[in-house]
Amino acid sequence: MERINQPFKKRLVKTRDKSLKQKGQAAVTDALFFLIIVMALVSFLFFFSSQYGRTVGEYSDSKYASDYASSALKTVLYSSFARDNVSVEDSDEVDFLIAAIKEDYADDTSIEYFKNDLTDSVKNVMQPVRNSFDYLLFIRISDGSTFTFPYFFVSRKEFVSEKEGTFVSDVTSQEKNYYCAVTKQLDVDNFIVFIGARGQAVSSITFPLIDGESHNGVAQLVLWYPKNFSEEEAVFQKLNCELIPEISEN
Amino acid sequence: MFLQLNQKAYLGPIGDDLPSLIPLMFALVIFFSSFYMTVNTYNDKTVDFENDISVVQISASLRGTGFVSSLDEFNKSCNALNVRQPYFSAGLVGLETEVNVFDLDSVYLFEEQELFKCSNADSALTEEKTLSLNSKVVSRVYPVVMQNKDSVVVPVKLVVVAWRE
Repeated sequence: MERINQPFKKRLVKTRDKSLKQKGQAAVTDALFFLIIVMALVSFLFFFSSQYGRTVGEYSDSKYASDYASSALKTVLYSSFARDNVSVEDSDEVDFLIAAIKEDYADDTSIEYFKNDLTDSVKNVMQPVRNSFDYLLFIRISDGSTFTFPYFFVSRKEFVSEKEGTFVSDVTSQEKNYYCAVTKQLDVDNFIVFIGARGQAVSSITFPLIDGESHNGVAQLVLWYPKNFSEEEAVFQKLNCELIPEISEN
Repeated sequence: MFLQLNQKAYLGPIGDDLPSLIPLMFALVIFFSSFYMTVNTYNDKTVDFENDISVVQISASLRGTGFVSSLDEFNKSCNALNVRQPYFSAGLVGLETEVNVFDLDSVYLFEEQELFKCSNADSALTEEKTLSLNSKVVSRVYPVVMQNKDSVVVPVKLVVVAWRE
């Protein structure tokens, strides 16, 4: 070492000092790059865990709504019904509700006499899911190219709050039931699209008439997640619905 | 001698890399904890889906056409089921009866003291098979019609509850 001249010694120290500093910086930079890569992986993991099974869950809910709708429609149509205004267990005149509905339709092609009994039966069957779904049930008669709706019942929840603004915490739901006088199938289709149906069930029914002829009809039940809209909503207004106050109080 | 003088803050080969170890360790901790969370979420959701699918299969089998004509027919549908996991209890309940999943036997309808009940958790009932607060529960309700002894067809609901520990 003594032989090394002074300027060379200075240069050597400078170079050594510089290389030491560079080594430290490189290690920190590598670690930061590693951190960035890990953060990207972590973001992917979070995205994966939040999205995994979302489609399957939605399909499962939709399947349940469809299954419930088809079971409910069968139950409504096959249920027994007491013609003498007492409970089914105590009645001497028990018949299928659909038979009474057909009988009601046969004379004047309208369902008026047993309309409320049908509504009671529908509400009864939908009772287990009434907090989860709003629904409508209609009977549609097709006569070639025209449709008539002798029975059209809608049950929905309207959300009300005494406060105004974006974030309100006192929201309560109020069940509202309607009979509707629908004239066009298009209005029904538009309403079903508007509310975003989650489950539907359709059943064919033949309605015999007293003159020996018969009409082909369908009963259709539609379920959807409660959607808040006012009675002034255009697609709803076209259904010509009338509120049933006495039933909504039940 | 001159090396020592010019090596301020030099802590040795490991000591020099000490600041880089902080982001490194931080990254590893974050990665493994989020990986653990993701695996847990994946397993939980998979179990939920398996329970969901089982409930759909059980309910479809027990509902049949949606018309239960007798207890024998119900039992026949029940015996046709071959579900080992998850544990389940299903049965017919009055339409307006409130259902408590921890006390299903008290709400099931019965005929001549035999319940309209179908379950794979009855034989050799162990603690594992019993529904508890820690169980992962899936429950579904479907309306069906049941013909009683007087040939009156009444609406009832089919309740299916499935669970895993």
